[in-house]
Amino acid sequence: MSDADEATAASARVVRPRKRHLSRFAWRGFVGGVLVLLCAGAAIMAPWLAPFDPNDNDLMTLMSGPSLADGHWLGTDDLGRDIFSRILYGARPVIVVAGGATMLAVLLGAVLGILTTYVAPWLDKVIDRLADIQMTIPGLVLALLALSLFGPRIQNLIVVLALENWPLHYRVARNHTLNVRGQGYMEAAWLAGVPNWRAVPRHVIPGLLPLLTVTFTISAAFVATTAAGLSFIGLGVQPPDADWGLMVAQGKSQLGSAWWLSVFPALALVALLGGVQMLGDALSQRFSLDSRNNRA
Amino acid sequence: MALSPPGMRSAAAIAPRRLPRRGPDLSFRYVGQRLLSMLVAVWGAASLVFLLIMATGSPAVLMAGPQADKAQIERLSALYGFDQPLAVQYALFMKNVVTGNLPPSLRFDISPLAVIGPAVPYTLTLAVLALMFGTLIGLAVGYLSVNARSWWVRELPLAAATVVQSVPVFIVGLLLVLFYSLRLGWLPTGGTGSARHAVLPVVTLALLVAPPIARLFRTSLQQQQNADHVRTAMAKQISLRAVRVRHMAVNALVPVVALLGMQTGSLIGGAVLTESVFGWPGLGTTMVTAVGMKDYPVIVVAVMLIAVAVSACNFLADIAIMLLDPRTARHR
Repeated sequence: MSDADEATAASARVVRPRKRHLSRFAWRGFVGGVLVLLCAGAAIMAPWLAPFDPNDNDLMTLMSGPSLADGHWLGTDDLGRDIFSRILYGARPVIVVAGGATMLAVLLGAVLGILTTYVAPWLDKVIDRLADIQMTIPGLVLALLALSLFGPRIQNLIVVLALENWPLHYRVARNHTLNVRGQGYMEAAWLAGVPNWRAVPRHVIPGLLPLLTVTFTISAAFVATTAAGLSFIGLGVQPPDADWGLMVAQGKSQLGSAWWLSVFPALALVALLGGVQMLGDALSQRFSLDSRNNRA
Repeated sequence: MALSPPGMRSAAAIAPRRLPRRGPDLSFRYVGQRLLSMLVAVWGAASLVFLLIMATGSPAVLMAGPQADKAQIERLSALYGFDQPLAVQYALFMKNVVTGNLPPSLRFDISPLAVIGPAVPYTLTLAVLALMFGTLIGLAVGYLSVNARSWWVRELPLAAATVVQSVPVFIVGLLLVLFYSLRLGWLPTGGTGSARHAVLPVVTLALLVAPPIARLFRTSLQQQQNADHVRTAMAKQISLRAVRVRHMAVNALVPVVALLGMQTGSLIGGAVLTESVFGWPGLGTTMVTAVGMKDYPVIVVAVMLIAVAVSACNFLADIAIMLLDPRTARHR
């Protein structure tokens, strides 16, 4: 509990005892990290972990329910493909798209943020306007338009999602750079004749990295959610390949007779997104990036 | 300083500040500014769409479809001016957007507006109802999480909101269908026809709206708890409920309204997915079908319509904030 909360409790007439946190260990961050690592592990180790080939049709066991007996732990789909193996392989597109797009967005935002402070201050107004304009077309809708025009390929998906998500990183990078630029040590470096191209990597970027780690996890959650939504409406990975959003969509029509087709990939998706979100919350609390210091 | 008793403020802090002259709450200048920035945003969105279309190479090829021959493409190019220089095409595009002279839907050969028109009321119903219920739920959860006496009532709904927040809309929808339609058989799995058909889509979308509102309202209420005016109200022995509702909740509403304005986009994105889960014949379903059929005019017009709607909602949110907190208009 913060001091502010205690002051509040004292000022209110009803003083209520609140539970103190038993330990300082960040459980939410830990659980989130474990979930994300599990998904990443599944994506990397899929060929070794999967008991079946993800596209192999086992015609003897069409739509069999989850069971331990025949080796299809999570059942099979309407083409006799093993759900468990498909879930392992399906981790790949989500992680590649979310990771790639967010990385690109962070890079773009950081580079532009440093550039606008040091090289082209006039660019800031332009970028602000651009971000405003982008806000008027919802992320999912803009991605839908772009992917329908350029084709739902994974590179296009990454680029579109990156172009939608860089403003957050840009603002954080720019604020930090502006702040550091006004510090005494930057002035000292300038007086000592250190050129900007040496002072920036030395004094600006190290302080920026933890901030960008936080914005990375925050925006990875957004990107992964949008990517999953896009693949649910058929604009992500294309059919023969395994992908969680796509698997949920494919199983939708058989929800009544074979719930396992949709529910298991949905659970995997929830685990990943929840993990990223928890990690992001914990990190932003740790570095107090936003005002959500009063934890939920 | 050392002699002054603790808690005593310096004279400067006690001296009454001159109150600023109070202007009219709804200044025309501010409304005009907001309106102008809304128009700029819509124009920008149209330009963005134009750029995207141009980046594909030739719009005529897109419109003619894969099996079109050269003559057909050329005819289309001449008809819509795709053979003109880029600047002329841009002017033409803008003129066509404003006058509504749009290329016909490739699937139905009628104006895309006529294709989209029947879908709009469905999406509007869904979005407005979901926004209403979602906001109410979010505000209730946020208010209780600060003010309720029982620990359970304070923490449990908020924890539920946090969990729901990390579940994608379409999964929330599917789980609701699985439980309420297939397991219990209470509600239809999808489609339209009666008010009962609307329940699950509205609840699904409301569950997207509520959690961020609950969390923000909570933070905002907590900030109010420490505010001077709340302490003054307490000191005046106003009833606790009146302090909480009139002095805290109303003030804490300002950031929530700002969030509502910013969230229109995610609401519409969520509506697209919700509609696709429930087969709700709104804008989202129309767009997804159009994407499948490569019906570009319909997609482009729908996107433009959404951009206009989002800008309009942002504008309304700005006006609402100004009415709730007139300082925002004067500080600009």
